[in-house]
Amino acid sequence: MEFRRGKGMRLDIKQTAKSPGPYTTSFGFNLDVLCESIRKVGLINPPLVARNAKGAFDIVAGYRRILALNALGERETFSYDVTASLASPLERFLAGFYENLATRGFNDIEKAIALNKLGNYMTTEEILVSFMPLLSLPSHEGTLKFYLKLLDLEENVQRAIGREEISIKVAKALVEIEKGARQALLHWIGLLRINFNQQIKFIEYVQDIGLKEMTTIPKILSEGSFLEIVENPRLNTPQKAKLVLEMLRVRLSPRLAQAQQAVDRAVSAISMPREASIHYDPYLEHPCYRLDISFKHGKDLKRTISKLHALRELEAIPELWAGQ
Amino acid sequence: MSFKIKTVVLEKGAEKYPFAQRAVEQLQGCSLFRPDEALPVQRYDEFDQDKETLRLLSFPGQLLKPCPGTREYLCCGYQILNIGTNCPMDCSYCILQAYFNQPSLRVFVNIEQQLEAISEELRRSERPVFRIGTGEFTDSLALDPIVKWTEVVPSFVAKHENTILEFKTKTVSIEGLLSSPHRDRIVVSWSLNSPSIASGEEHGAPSIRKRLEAARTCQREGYTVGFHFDPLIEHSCWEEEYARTIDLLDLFIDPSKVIWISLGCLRFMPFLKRVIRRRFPKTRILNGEFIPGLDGKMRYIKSARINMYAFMREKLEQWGVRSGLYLCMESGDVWEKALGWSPDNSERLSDYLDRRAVKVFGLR
Repeated sequence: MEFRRGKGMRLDIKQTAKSPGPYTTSFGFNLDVLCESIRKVGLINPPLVARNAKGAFDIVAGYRRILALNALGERETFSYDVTASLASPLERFLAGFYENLATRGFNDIEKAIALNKLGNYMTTEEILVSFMPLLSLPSHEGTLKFYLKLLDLEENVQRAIGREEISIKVAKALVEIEKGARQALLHWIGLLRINFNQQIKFIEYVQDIGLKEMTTIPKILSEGSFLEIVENPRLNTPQKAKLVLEMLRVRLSPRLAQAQQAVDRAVSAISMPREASIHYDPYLEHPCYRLDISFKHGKDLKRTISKLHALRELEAIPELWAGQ
Repeated sequence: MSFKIKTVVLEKGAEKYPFAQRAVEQLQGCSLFRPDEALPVQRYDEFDQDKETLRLLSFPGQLLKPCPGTREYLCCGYQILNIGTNCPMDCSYCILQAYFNQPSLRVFVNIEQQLEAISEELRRSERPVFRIGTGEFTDSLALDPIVKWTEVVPSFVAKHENTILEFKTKTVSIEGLLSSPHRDRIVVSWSLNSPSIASGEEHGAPSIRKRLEAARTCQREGYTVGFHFDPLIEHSCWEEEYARTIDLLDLFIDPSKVIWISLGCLRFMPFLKRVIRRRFPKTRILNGEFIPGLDGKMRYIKSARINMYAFMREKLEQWGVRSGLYLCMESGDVWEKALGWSPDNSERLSDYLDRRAVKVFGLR
């Protein structure tokens, strides 16, 4: 495909900015930087447009630039009419697609939009082989199906994905959950401002509790105990997040939590020398404790061992899982 | 038992093996695709197991391999004879759902040629006993009415005096065994569970009663039988439920002639959880308290495992089991607490089971 720019023209911004049209893929963007750039140095790269069957112009490339100009109160802008040079819809789509790919890349919702639009013009096989790698995605049909499912999500969920407020792994979990539960989870993820790993843990805990207790996710998350934590003015957000996650963990795994507490209590009650510390597998699966001693030289080590030897409290350390 | 195989695919290189030709003859009503015929394009869902297609293929690698146990837990030192992969039944907990990256039932048709090579290996080996099993990557007997493993494998065992072969199954497909003249050093073992797990989670598998009826027939016909309670699953009223299975064992089986019984609690690679949730959304098997084990697999917390094993030990001993009870992939301290002794390491566990085999089969 050889690209020719077409002829220059003045474009009515207000009219064109109304709809992204069939060729653009932009989603979840912030116009502030672009507005600032245009305000300072003007529009460097004019948009490309093509006339549609109704005689109006569709944006081929430059949707965000047109929105920025519109936000700045501009009425017209210079643009290129590529109706003749890019005759087919596929050529027009690809012109915008490759321009974006080269200049800014796509967020995950934009990837989904692009893959969905490509589906109008070519076979799944072609998309898998030729376009998934361009979007840094594996040429795997399951991945393609998953990305297409993202377009069925509610707009606020899509926005969170587009802005990378939730990871693609979290999105994978959310697409498999019904709408009410998804919204409740997203609300809490936003409220607790938890990181990606914590998000996954949070969703998994709540889902598992729901299945175990045969209740719904919104019901669990509207329980008073969780609301109390969130409304507690003495806790900062990370503390609230930690507490909520811990409450969920204990509820899901009460016997392990109880055993961990017993071991924690026994070990923390010992006045260990500063140079030594006792460790154990947090899941209490490994049968042994581990003793760490830091020392500068042999005499130092002997001194710490002597202190430990004299420490009667060590005998009180229970076997892991004792009495459970 | 009728599984719904609709398509048979004879893969390139497989057509020359008599084993493949016999299998094709048994599947007359199915669509058959020979190596030169193009298969219709098949698009699988991420989690589709495609249990309606049987692929007959020649396996290029070694069919006999040691069980891939892990350093962290005690392994019984079993040798796996890899006769095929995947299984026509559809147990919700099945590890095979996440173990292979290829769907469809697959049977290796060069087994007779491979067994000849294995014969050489066995002759050269100084090991006193070879415990071999075929039920690791597929059910040992589910496809036997079609592929007739029982016409091939027992005669191979008969030629090697230091070899024990175990067919591990959930099925009642014992016709092939019953018509086989080679019964010495063959163990037929059934995977057992509680009746409610069998009916609710082991989709397509016969009931516990039917399995035990088949086991009784085999025992009466002179076969040595074994049992595997694996995976033990914590579920509502699990004590009563597993006790019901042991009551059924009492009804059908002579405990003094059981070679071994293994116990293993549910464990799975973390990825399997998502597969199970997707394929079996109503399953209750994931409701326990799971932790990442020392081998990276998810397993019940230690106290829960000890509790289940100790319960099973007590019930099985009450039934009459005196020897041959062992734990699959467990740590020494769990053995000690649940069974009252521990082999301490995998070599000693392997020796223990070898000795059991020597005693039961009167090996020299």
